[in-house]
Amino acid sequence: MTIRAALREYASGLFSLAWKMLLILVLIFVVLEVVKRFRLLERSLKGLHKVTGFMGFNEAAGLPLLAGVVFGIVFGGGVICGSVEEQKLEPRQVFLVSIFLALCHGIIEDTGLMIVLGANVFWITVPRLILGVAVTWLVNRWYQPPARADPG
Amino acid sequence: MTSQCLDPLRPAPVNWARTLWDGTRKGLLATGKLMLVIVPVYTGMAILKYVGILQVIAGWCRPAMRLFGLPGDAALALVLGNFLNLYSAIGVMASLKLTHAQMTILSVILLFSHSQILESSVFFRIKTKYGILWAIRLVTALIVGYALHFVIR
Repeated sequence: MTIRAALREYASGLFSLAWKMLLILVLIFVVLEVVKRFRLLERSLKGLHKVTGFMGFNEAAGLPLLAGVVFGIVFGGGVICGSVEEQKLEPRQVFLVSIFLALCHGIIEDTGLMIVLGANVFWITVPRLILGVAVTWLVNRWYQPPARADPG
Repeated sequence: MTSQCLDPLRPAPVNWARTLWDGTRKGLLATGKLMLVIVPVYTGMAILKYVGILQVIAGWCRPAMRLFGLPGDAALALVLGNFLNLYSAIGVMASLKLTHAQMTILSVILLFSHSQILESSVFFRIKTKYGILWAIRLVTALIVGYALHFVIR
């Protein structure tokens, strides 16, 4: 590969990544603001918390979880970055969300790519989901940070 | 801001311009914060790829592919997928002659563990334990890949 082609690939790759991030993150946050104004957010997060609560997640963790599972780690992380100012996510929650997302994220795009190549849908989704749940549950149960315990 | 949103008795009227601007501002801010780590990391990865060191690493990994019932050439897909991203792994996968079972095993390993440098940098940016997360992903990927080799054929 010539250096020219490599540079072009580098620039277009970085540009498309940045552009995709910008579009999806702005979209996520605009939808969030609208949903918040209509007070739908608290209710839906409460519903989600009924499912995710046993792994140690609080209600605020639902947002980055959803964004990450659907769009990928970069976007789940983006939601965490953006909601830091709202102070609802303590470090332990960020860690738990990260563990779950590390094992199970980008369910639409990443999985879709592999299905196109001929991989079995069941084996490329179910083990990730089960392990994401299991490892998060285990870490929440066994790992307590030395400084202070999680309130509530 | 929060006081008017949380008052259950008197919902504030929706100010659309304000709502859209708030969302856009937060989205832009989050993108900016992430780009601070992504740009240098992405640049480093492009250099790795150009220098050809990843092909050398893939060469070292070839013998281990037997553990997963994969041909040696699959090592390049795993190494590119882990250091760079899924798209570069897919470029290699498309050129391999794999059975459905092999394709599934390779996909599972890659889906558990891919784009490690970029995604670890996101974990670094949100100030969480990126080293532990990296290890969890890699170990899980290898164990599940090894186990699946016995389950599906």
